[in-house]
Amino acid sequence: MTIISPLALLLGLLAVPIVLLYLLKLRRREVEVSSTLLWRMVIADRQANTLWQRLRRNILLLLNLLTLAALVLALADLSQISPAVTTPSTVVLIDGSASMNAVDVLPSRFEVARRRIEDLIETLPSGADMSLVLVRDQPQVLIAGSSQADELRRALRAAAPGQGSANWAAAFSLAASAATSTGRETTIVIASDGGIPSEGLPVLPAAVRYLPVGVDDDNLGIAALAVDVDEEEAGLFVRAVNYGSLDHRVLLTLRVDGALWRAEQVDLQAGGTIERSMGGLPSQAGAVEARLVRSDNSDQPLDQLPLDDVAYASVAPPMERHALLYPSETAPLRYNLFLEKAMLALANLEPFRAVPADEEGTLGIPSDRFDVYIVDGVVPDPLPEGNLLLVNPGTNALFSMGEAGPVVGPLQMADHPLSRYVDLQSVHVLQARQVDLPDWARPLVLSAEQPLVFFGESDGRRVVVFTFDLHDSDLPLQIAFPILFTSLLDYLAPPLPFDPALNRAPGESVTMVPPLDVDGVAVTTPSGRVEPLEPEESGFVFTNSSELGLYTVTYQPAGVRPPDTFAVNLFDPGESRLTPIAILPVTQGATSTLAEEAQGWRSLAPWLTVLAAALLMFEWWWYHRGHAAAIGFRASRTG
Amino acid sequence: MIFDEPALRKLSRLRLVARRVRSGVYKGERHSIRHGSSIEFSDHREYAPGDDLRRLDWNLYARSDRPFLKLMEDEEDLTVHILLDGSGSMSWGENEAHKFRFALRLAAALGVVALNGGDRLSLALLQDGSMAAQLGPLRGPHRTLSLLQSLDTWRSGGTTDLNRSVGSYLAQPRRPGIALVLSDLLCPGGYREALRRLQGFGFEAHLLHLLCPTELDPPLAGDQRLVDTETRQTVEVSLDGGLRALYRRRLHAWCQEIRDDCRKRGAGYLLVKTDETWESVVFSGLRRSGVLR
Repeated sequence: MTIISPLALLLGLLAVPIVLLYLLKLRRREVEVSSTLLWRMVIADRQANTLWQRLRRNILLLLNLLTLAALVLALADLSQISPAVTTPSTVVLIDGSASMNAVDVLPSRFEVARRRIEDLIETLPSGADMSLVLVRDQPQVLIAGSSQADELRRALRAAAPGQGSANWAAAFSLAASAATSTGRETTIVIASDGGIPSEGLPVLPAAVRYLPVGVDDDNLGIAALAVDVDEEEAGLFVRAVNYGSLDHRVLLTLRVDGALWRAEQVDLQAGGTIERSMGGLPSQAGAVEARLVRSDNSDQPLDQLPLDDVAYASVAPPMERHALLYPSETAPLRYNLFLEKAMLALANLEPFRAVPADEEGTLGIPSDRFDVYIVDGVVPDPLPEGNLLLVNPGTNALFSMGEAGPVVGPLQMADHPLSRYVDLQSVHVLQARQVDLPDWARPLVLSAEQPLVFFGESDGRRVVVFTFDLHDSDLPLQIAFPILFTSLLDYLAPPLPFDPALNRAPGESVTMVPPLDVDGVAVTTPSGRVEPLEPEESGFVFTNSSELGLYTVTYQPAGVRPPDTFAVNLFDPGESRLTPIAILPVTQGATSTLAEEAQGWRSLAPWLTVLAAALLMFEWWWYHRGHAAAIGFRASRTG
Repeated sequence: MIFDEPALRKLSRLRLVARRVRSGVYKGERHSIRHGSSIEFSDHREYAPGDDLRRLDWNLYARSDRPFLKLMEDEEDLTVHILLDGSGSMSWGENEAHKFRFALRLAAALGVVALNGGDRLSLALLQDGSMAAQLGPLRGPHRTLSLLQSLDTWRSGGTTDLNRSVGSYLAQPRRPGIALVLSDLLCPGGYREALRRLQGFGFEAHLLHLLCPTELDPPLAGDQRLVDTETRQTVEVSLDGGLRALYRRRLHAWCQEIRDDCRKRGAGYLLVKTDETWESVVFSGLRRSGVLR
C-alpha cells in the first residue's frame, strides 16, 4: 500500500472541526420523563464502562470520522501494489483454450486471468493503449488499441473461454502485426496456463510478459473413443488417461443411447493410461457416451477439468447408393467389365445398367435419379443431372478432350485423401487423351504434368474423369484399382452424409453431403440450439462446433432420412494436461524475451468512495432509527 | 370516581387484614390487645393518676389496700391510613395507566373496603414534603360517597419527599394501624426513613409501588436530554439497545432491593404495574400479598 498524493492527507485535519462541531452542535432532544432517578443510577453503572461503550455513545461522531477518513484516503489515492505495464502500447493475449476452464483456482483459470488483466487495465499509464486478443481455435480481437479503461473492461468481460485448443500461431501473428503497426514501444502480455508450443511460432517483435495462472495438474480424461461397425455388430474402443500427479480409482461408465451399457472400476495411476476394447455393441446403436465418475459417490468434482471427463461417439447405419453404368458400346450392347466388377464389389452400392431407349441405341436420361452415373467412352447428350464418373470421355458440355497420346514417365498421385492407400508405382498407362484442366478441376493422377485422373465440382455436381481407356492400362488388374474406385465412388456418392465415426475437434467444420432427395439440414447443438444450414457447393457445412458433446443432424423433408449424430470431443492432451507452466517457453527471436515483472499501483479510491457512501447511509439509518423511536415516545406521553 | 354496583359488591366482601390488632376508639369487629371496658376480664394493673376511677377494682383495693385498675379485653376497630404520593412524577402514564389516577382508584377501593369493614379510615395526599390534603378519620359505609367526592378533588404536582411528608403526617396524633403507602418511590431521598418512622409509631406498613409501562420499558432512542418532570434536572444519554437493556436490568434490581428491604423490615410490598386493571390489583394482587382477604 502507498499514498500517491500525500498532501491530500492534510484534509484529515478536518476531523478537528468535525469533532468540535459535533461537541458544540450536538443537539440532544429534550424529553420529559417522570423521574431521572433511575437514569442516574444507570449512568452511574456505566461509569465503569469500557472505551467501546463510550464510543457507542458517540457512534455518530465515530461514523463521521470514519467517513472522513475514507474520503481523505480516496483523495490521497491510496493504492496497492499491482502488476503493471509501462510501455505506451500493450497487446494482451488471453488464453481461451479448454484448459482455462480448469477450476484449480477459483472460480476458474480464465476468471483469474481476467482479473489479472483487469489489474493491468487499472494500472495502464495515461495515454497508453491496449489491445485484447482472445486466443481460441481462432484468435479473436476483443478490442484494438483503446486507452479507455471502461471500454477495455467491457470488452474483457464479454470474453469467455472456449472448449477447444488455442491457435497460438495465429495469435502470435496477430500480436506481432499489432506490435509493429503501432510504431510505439509495445509489451505483449500473455495470460495463459502455459499450453503454448515452444516451436513453430512467429517471432514477437516486442517484450513479452507472461501472466501464469493455475496451480494444480490433477486431471483425468477420456483420450479416445471409437466405434467400429460392421454388418453384424459393433465394437468399441476407449482410452482413459490420468494426466495429473495423483493416483485415482474411478468408474468408467459407458452408455448407449442414454442407457447404461457397461461400467467398470479402474485404477488410473499418475500419468497412467487404461484402454478397453469391447464387442457386443448393438449395431443399431445411435450414440455412445464414455464418462469417468468418482467411485465413492461423492458430489465433489472428479478433477480440475470436467470437460474431458466425458466423450461421445456416434454410430450411423450406411445408406444405400444407386449407381448407373452406361454401356461402352450400344451396337452390340457392351459394358465395361472392369467397372461392373468394381461396382459389384462395393458394399451399400446397388449397380444398374443403362439400356438404350430404342434400337438405334439412343441413351436418354433415365427417369429415376441415381447417386452416381458412370460413363465409359460415349458421353450421353445431354448429361444426366448428378454426379459423374467419366472414363475416357470425349468432349462434352463440361470440358473439352483432345486426341489420345502416349503417356511417358511414372504415374504420380496428388496429395489428397482420395489418393490414400493407392499405390500406382506398378501401374502403367499406354495412352491417354490430352486435356486442358477446367477451372473447377484438380488433378489426382498425373504423368509428366499430364492429368490422367482429375476431379472437381461443377454446377453442383461432382465429377471424376479418367482421361484414358481402362483397357489401355493395367490399372484394373492392380490392387490399386478397387481401392481407388472405392475412394472415387465414396467421393461421388458418399455412403453417409458425413462420417459419424470420425472424431471432430471443437471448432472443426463438418461437411454433410446428404442424399439428393434431402432439401434441408439442421443441426442441434449439445446445448439444444437448432441451427439450420444453407446448402453450399460442397454440401451443407456446419462450422459452429465449438461446444463439446453430441450434435444431432436432422433432414428435410421429414422422414427422408433418420437423424444422424456426430461427436465433438476434447481429445487433446495439450489441453487435458493441466500442469501449470511458470516460465513461458517463448525463446525464438532476439526480441521475444521475458520482461522482468513490473509493478504498478492500483488505486483503491473507488472502493474507498463506496465505503464512504455506505458509512453515510448507515449513519443516516442510525440517526433516524433513534429519531423515530423518540417521536413514538413523545406521542405516547399524555399526562 | 365511580364504582359500579358489581364492583362495590365485590369490594364489600373484602376485609383489610391486620397482622397485629391495634387499639381503636370505637368498638369494632377485631379483638384488641388493649384492655378496655368490655365485660371480658383481662388483667389488673396499678392505678396511675388520670386513670378512670370507674374502672378501679374496689374489691381488690379493699383486700390489698392498693389501687388496681381492672382491665377488660375489648373489641376494637382498625385504623387504616392511606398515604398517597401526589408528586409530579405520579402524574405520568397515558389513559388508564396514569399513575396518579390509578393510585386514586386504588385508594378509593381500599377506602371503601375499610369503611365497609367498620374500620377507621384516614387518608393523606403527600406533596412537597408535607401533606397537600388529608381526609378523615372516616368510619362507616355511609361515608363512602364523601370519600369518593374528596378523592376526586385531589390533584398531583410538586416534588416528592416521602420521608418528610410521612414525618409531617405523623407529627399529628395518629392512632397506629395499617398504613398503605401508594407511591412510585421515585424520590431522591428514598423511602426508608418514612418506613422506619411508620413502623416506629407502631404502624403496620405496606408499600404499593406504582410504575407505568413507559417507566418499565421506556421507548427512547438516540441522543436525548432527559428532563425530570419534578425537579427539571436533566440527564444526557445516548440511548441504544444496550443502554435500554441496562435500564431494564437496573429497574428490576431496584424493585428487588425494595422488596427485600421491606421483607427484612416486616413491611409489605407490592409492585403495581399501571397497565393492569385496578380490579386485578385489588382482588388478586393485594389478596395474594395478604393486605386484603
